[in-house]
Amino acid sequence: MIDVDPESDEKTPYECFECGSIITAEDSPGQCPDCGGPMRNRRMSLE
Amino acid sequence: MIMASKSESTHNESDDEAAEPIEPESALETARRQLDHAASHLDIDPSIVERLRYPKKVHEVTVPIERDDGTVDVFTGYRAQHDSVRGPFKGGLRYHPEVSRDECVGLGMWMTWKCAVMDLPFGGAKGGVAVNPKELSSGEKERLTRRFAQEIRDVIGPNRDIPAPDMGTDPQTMAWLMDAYSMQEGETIPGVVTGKPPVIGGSEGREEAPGRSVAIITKQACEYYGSDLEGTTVAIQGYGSVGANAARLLDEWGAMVVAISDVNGAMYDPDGIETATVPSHDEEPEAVTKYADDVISNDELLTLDVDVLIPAALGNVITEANASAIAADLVVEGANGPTTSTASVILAERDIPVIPDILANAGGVTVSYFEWLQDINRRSWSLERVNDELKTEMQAAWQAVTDEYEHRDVTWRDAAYIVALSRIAESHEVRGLWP
Repeated sequence: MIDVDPESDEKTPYECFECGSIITAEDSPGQCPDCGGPMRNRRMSLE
Repeated sequence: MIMASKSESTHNESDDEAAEPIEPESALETARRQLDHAASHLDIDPSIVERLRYPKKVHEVTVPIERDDGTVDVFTGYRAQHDSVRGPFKGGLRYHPEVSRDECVGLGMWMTWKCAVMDLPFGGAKGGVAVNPKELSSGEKERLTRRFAQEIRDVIGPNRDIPAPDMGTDPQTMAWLMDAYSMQEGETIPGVVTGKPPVIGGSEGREEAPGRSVAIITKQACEYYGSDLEGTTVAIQGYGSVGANAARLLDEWGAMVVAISDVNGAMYDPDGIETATVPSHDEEPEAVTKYADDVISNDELLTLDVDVLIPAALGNVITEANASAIAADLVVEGANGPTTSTASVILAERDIPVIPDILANAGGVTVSYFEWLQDINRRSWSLERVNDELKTEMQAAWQAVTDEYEHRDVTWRDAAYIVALSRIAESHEVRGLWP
C-alpha cells in the first residue's frame, strides 16, 4: 500500500521498471546502477 | 457494526522480534504487520482480521510456450486473490524472474486496502509469470500472454478479477490478454482488464491521473489548513508524469510553483516557474536544468522554505538525515513512499502534516475503475468527464480520511489505513461468514 514500511526501516527490495534489476537496501538506491532508471520498492502495489 | 475505539495499544508482535532481522521480511509478512497495525486502532472482530491475513485463493499454473527457434519452455504463473468482499478482485500482472507466490499474496493484500480507501467496489489481487520479459521476443511474449490468459480464464473476468499492467507488462500485453479471453468466451469483453489502449476500451486521462490526484489532494489539504491555493508556494521533486502533471495543474489553479527537479538537479525561481514551458521527463528526458536560470540540488529543494513540498520522484527521500531540516508547512506524497518511518516520526513531532501516497496518488487505480465502468457500460467518457469524476472521488476520499484524522487524533497515514480497514471489516461483518 505504501512504498516504504511506515513501521520499520528494515531493508527491502527495490526494482527497476526499466531493466528489472533488483537491489535490497534500507533506503532507496535512487537511480538504477545498471540503466539509470528509477527504482521503486517491490513491496508496493501499483495502479 | 465496527465500533470506534481509541485504543492506545500499538502492540505489534514483530516489534519484539525484529530488532536484528537476519533476512528482510517478505512482502506478505510486511502486509500482515500493517494489517495488525491498522486493526489496533479499531474494534474489529478478531476473526475478521484473521480472515484478512490470508488470501481467498492462490492460483498456480504452468505456462508452456513455443520459442521462436521451435523449442518449448515452461514457465510458472500465479494469480493471488486476496479479498473480494467489496467487489471483484483488482490488481496488476507482472512478468519478472522473481515473481513468487508469497509476493503476489502480499501485494494483493495491499491492493485490497488501496481500493477500499478510495471506496472503489473492488478487492485486491496480484499475479504474474516468473519469466524475464527481456529475453522474450514480441511473438513469444504474445504467446505467453495468450496461454497464461487461457490458464487463468476461469478465475478472471469483469465480475471476478480484473488484471492491469505492472512490471514487465504494458497496454499491449493487456490487449492480448483481453483478446485471448474474448476469443475463448465468444464475445468481446473489454472489462476483463484495465490499462488497455484507448482504441479497444482504455480510458482517456489514465496517464495523467496520479499527478492530477496529487494536485487535487494538495488543494484540499491547503484549504483544510486555512490557506488559499492562490499564492501558495510549492516545491516539487520529480518532473515525470506525476510531478509534471501535478505542477502544471497547481500552477493553473493559482499556486506558485517555485521549484521543480529531475535527476540532474532543480530549477528554482522564487517568483514562480512557468511550468507549461518546461518539458516533462516524458516529453524531453532530463530537461529541467537545461531550462533553468537558477539551479539548486535536489537536497536543497527538499529543505526550501515553502508552503507545500511534494516529493514526486522516488521512495525514501525524506529520511532521518534531513527530516529535521524540512522547512515546508505541509508534505504531500506524490511518489510511493518518499518518507521513511523514522522521518515520519520526526515530522509528526514537528507538527508537519504528511498526506500519504495511498490517498494522494490514488488517481491511477481510480481511473482504472472508470475504465472498467466504461467497458461494462459500452460507453466511453470524454476526458472532461474523467477529470470531473476523478475530482469527485478524490474529494470524497479526502473527506473520509479527514473525518478519521479529526475523530481519532492519528496521523494522516494512519487515518487512511483506518478508513480502508473499517470499510472492509464492516463489509465482512454485514455479509457474515458463509455457510
